[in-house]
Amino acid sequence: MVQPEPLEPDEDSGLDALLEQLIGSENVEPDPEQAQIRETLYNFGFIDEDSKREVRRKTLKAVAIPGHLVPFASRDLPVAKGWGTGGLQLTFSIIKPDDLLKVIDQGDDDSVNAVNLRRLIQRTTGVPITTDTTLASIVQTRHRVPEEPMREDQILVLQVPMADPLRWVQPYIERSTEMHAEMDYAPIWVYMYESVVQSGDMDISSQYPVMVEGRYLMDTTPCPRYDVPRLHMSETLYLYGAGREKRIYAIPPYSRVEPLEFEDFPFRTEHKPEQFCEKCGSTNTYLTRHYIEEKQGGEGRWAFFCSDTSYCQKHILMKTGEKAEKVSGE
Amino acid sequence: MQTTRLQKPEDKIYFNAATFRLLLDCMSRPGKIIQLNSPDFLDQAPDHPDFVGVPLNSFALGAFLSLLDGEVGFAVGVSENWVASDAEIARWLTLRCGSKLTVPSEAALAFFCEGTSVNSIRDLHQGTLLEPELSATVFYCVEKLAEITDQEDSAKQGLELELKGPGILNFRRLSVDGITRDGIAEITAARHYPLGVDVFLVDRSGLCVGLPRTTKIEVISLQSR
Repeated sequence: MVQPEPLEPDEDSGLDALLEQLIGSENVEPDPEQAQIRETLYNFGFIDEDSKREVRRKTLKAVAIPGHLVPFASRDLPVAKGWGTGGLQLTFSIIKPDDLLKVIDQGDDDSVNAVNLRRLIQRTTGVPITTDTTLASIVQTRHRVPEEPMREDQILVLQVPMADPLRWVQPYIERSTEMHAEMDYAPIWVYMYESVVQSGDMDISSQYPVMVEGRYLMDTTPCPRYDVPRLHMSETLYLYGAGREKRIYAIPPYSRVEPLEFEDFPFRTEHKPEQFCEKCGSTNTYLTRHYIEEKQGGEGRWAFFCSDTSYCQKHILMKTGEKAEKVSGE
Repeated sequence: MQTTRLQKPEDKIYFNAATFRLLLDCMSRPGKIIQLNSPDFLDQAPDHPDFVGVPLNSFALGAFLSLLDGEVGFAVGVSENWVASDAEIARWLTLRCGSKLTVPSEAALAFFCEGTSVNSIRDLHQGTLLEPELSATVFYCVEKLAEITDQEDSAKQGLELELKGPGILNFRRLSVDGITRDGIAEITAARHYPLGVDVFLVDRSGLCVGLPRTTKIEVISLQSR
């Protein structure tokens, strides 16, 4: 299949309309004066103060024991468990009025889950919202670490569906807690070995298990493997909240995070250098596949786009800006 | 005459949220010196139990209170002893957070009125291998914390510490006045990773440093005092 040139798609593809729409979309720069006033029907940050204190105490312990699952009393929220309640409770417990928040879902700022969580946080705290990773002080995310590198003054809150990496080999959490205590990780190594022998690859495509500081085996949430190397010695604090599983864990900055790998079968990401994003043309980002329907009833096709939409949009703006400068220079 | 002031509940909420972020920063970057916010108690901070008329470190008290609620108990250490439940400080704290003074081995948080009272740290819960998170979090009041930069000569007072571990890129150095070499040895003795107590040092001007159990502490020199 012939891939269309990035940035110059043919007219029939409908991509240029999409491009125009993206570039023409309103500016997302936050305006502090327009920070929305929260609804005073709710406590600041929705959950009550005692619950926040519990989450805060557990978060401090999670940071002190990198990678260890700390149980907490997960509260009911106006969001079903499994839709980001762990991340929400962490965000509500750490947020303060002068924060700037970004919420993403699979790298996307505009998906239903991201929009709804963002609305809930904004209505009950009044903090301003941004889609720009570099401006946000807290980023709450599902499945992705943003493409742009995060800094020391930022916090990444991850929503976690399954917290225990030993779930693959030990379904009983009482038993797997003992295994963590004893550092008994032999069964997961056997599991990894078997998947290499049977399928020629590690069967675990996302939520790849990692060793944190050489002590605790940790689940990376359904992050794609592409994001796993970013956890190692990162500048940013990573907080993980699993609402349904009632667990909090964390990776402090500058911590050793090593994916499980064999000497003769090293850890690999799913990144392919020959693939590129059809919107912005970038080759060094995590791409997801989308089905594009053709006009006039023609056959559709699959296309790759950046999973991180705000980074993609920035990249487009940068490129078209460069182009415009070139034209005006001539 | 003491005048009665009203405090908006929101002020307390914002204070707790902001203080927690500072404590979280301290805990995730051990050795980084961070200025705590001054708490707005409606009255004076209680007196130090052993020094009549000397108020306790209000910055440390504010941070301590921001983490306490009715679900957990606390302990207060003074000059190598634990205070009894009828002590003024215990009642003052209970009145403000609903938390009760308990025996040290059950306390989730402990407050040491001065850096010399560290001997009792071994009474505190250090967690179990199944539940290492049950260990106590400790606030120590010390005299002065300062960063050590290479340019400075060693005019500073107190212990010079070198820290390594998660949260620190290579190493961090700081000087602590108000805690003895034995005190640091007590802190390090109370940790066998993943077990151990997590410590905050708070000085008189509200500067705070976190020493989680992952941090390796080394005393590099003892300045003349």
